[in-house]
Amino acid sequence: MNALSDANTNDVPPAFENFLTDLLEDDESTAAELPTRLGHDIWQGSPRLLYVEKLGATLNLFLDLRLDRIEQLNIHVLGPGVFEVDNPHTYFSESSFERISDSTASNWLHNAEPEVPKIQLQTQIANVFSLGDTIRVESGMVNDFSLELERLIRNHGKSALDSIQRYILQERTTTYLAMEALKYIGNFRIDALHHQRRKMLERCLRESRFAWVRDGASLGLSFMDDPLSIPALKKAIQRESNQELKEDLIEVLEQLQETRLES
Amino acid sequence: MSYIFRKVDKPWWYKDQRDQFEWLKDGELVADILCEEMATVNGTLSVYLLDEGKSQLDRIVAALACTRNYLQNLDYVIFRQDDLNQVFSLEDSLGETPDSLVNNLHRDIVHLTPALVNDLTYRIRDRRESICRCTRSKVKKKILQEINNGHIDVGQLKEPLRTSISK
Repeated sequence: MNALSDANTNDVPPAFENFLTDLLEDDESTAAELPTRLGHDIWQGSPRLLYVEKLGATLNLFLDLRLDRIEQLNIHVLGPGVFEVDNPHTYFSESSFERISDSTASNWLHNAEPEVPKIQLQTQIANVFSLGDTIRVESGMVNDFSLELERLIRNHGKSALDSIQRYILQERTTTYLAMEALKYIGNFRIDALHHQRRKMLERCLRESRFAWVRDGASLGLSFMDDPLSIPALKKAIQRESNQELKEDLIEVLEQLQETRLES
Repeated sequence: MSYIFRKVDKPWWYKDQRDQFEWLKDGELVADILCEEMATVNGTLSVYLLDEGKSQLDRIVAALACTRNYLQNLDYVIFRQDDLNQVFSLEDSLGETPDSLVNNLHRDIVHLTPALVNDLTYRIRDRRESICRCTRSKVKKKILQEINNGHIDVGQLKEPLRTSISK
């Protein structure tokens, strides 16, 4: 599916275009989970992107869910590479589209810090992980490593998450520290980066060859407690060769299914 | 028969770790486990005593989870006290959790040398009765239960754990 081909992408920043590509083409589970994000459990087909328009700093993504109505996702641009997707739980008939602007998001965009050069960010990430090598990082406890990791992510948003993901998947740190970092990322309360944190953890769960890293990623997802990770967990369970880890992945899946039932 | 409880991080105890330490021979553990999981203080190692029916297990899990900043899973290993006999010594030592009963179940394994820690590590690995993971949601339920029972004072919990518990 190339959903972007239907989109009017004029004036859409490249970072946002990448975000849309990730959102809609990342893996086959992504499309199916969008309606769940909107509160639906009755998903039957694939979404088709009708168009994207830039309205102030809020980008409205209209999706034809092939149901009997059109639904709207509000995607707020919080800064370079930082987006927040909210769930307005409002449904529009095709004839009653309303355009929403968000002055707060506009201010965020206006005041956002310029993106740091990638090399500088990579150096900062290496420094944070080096710090982790020098102190005792105890699971569940705040320490200098967790504080610096959180600061880096808060300051640089998706760019930091992408770089940390690369750092871990390129095996540039110990598996133990990678595992702890992923658990912290699941624990940090950075709502604006909820989607990006979840995607990063799902990718590490899918792509790391180390059981410890996959364990850290699955625990991070369990701390986020977002039922949207259920498809990723199911696939991970099917793939998992470490029997002990497989049992723990099943526990995480059961937790998320329980959360879905309760919500 | 009594049991010994010790908080661990489960991945360190995976039976096969050769996905990352390919040089390990079958049944070997990587030496880092001695620093990360079996680190001693003044030659002692912190454990908790469980009765035969393990009746205080939930209280120990809840109390230890409450010493953390974040609400998350808690992994632990249980092994028989008999497996320590004649080689290792236990001493009473007050724990530092928000639950006073759990604090009284705390013990130190004392007079440990490097050789003894190594011996103990393999005893735990080979003779353990179980290694368990209590998931985040189960930990939360246990903490709430102990708060409701009056065993844990929510005022003693750190942030953001307290916020996570109240949600």
